[in-house]
Amino acid sequence: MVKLTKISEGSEADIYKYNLFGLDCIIKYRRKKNYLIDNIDEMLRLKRTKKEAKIIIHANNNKIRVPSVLLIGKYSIYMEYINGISLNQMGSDKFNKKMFFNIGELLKKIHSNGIVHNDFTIANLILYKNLIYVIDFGLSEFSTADEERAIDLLLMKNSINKNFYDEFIKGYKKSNTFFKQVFSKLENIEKRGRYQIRTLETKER
Amino acid sequence: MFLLILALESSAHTLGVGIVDNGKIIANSKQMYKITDKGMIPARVADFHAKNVYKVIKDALEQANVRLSDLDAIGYTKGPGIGPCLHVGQLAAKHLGLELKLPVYPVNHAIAHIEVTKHLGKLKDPIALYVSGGNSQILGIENTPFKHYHIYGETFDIGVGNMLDNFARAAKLIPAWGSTVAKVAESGNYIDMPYSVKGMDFTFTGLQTNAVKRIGKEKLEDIAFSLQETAFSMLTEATERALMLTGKKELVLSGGVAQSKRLKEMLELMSKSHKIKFYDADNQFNADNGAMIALVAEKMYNSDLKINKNELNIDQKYKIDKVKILW
Repeated sequence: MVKLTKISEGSEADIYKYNLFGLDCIIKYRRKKNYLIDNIDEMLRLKRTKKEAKIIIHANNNKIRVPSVLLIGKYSIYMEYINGISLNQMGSDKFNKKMFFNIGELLKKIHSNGIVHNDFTIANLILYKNLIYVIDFGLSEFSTADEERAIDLLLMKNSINKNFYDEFIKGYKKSNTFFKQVFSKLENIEKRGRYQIRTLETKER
Repeated sequence: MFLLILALESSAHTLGVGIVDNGKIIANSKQMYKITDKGMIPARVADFHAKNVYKVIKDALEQANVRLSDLDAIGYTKGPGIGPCLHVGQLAAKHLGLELKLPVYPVNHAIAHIEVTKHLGKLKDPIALYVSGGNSQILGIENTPFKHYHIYGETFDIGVGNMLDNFARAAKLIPAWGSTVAKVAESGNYIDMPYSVKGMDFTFTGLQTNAVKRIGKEKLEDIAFSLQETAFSMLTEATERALMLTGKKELVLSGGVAQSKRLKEMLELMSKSHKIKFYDADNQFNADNGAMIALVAEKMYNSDLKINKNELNIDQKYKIDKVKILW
């Protein structure tokens, strides 16, 4: 009997913890949506699972700290279980400036590898053995558009206080060739005032 | 105690007059300009409204069994909508206000659609999927920086209603908020179409172009079915995400396209799976109507809002998230 524990439920996927040949892993399973006709449901689950796996693997190949993909099923991705603590569970009293400088550098690395995360909040950052890992690429895209990059900055800005955000920006800015245009896009978006709370509250860990 | 408020709606092809009494809708009369396959010519529609406005007011008064002199306030649609059409309602409202010495309230059309559904369903704090010709938005009340309807997601190009109408015209069907497309779709099978949702936003032009291009090459019923399924699936998925994000437990569907049975069915199924309370109003309130305007005018009246004379204008692009919600 295999032990499969559901640890969270998102808007389209469930997350299970599982032991694969002695290795702790999580399974992200995209469930069937009862309101979609089978053709569309099937097409979306296949496409999205494939894309998400592709993005995580691309990130991993480029030395971005993400969970390694172990297996790809039809609608599920088996990933390494990062046995750390997510920053939103950790509590802001344990935050420090260096940490957010590193997170800024990490996002720069994600962007320079042609990925936008689209849900870059502290809920999706995990501290493990003093290193920060990024999880949940469910809404991510391959994109180098300034606007999409700016939204990642904005999501982080809205989830931490100003001191840490300033450090985060310093890390992001460091030897970054696209910083200027992304930052001016960010100011632009904020003026439009529409993106204030547009990320999903992640119930996934 | 009576509190009688009469309001006019004339943002598009419907001229409506509604009367409410303490939150109860006691009249909802309307006249509709017949849309042909050529669509609406604003000046002609405005002429039609001007010709019919006194008759529709009279109808409403008879329906409610009240006299003009019984009224306590007047409301009208300030926007968004078609300029010349909006003007008719605005002028009639101002005229009535002046003659009867009553306060006049300018109402946002989109808010009225949501509020009437919320009111009839007795809901407190729902997410609203507002789908009409020009609009497709996912909204909900947020309290910062002031209490307003926040746009969580919306179409980046055209409204779902116009998309369905554009397809209908290309397929030589009568454009009617998707109802004729739905009829043809009944016997259709699914063929692949572009699906475009990003977070809680969506785009429809790619889908429209794809569907129009295939007319004549594939069975019309298959194209219509796939177009409708794809568009409504996109709307339902984005709405589902907004519900998960905000944690709100109620959902209303409103606006012209809310008359679509298939869209209702999808939202119902989705709501059930998350234990969300779903409500959609009777079709007379999904189509443009005067009662919903009167209902919001009453809320404005009850919140002791002072309106300056210069605010009694029209605004073709009256943005929903700019309006302060005082109730």
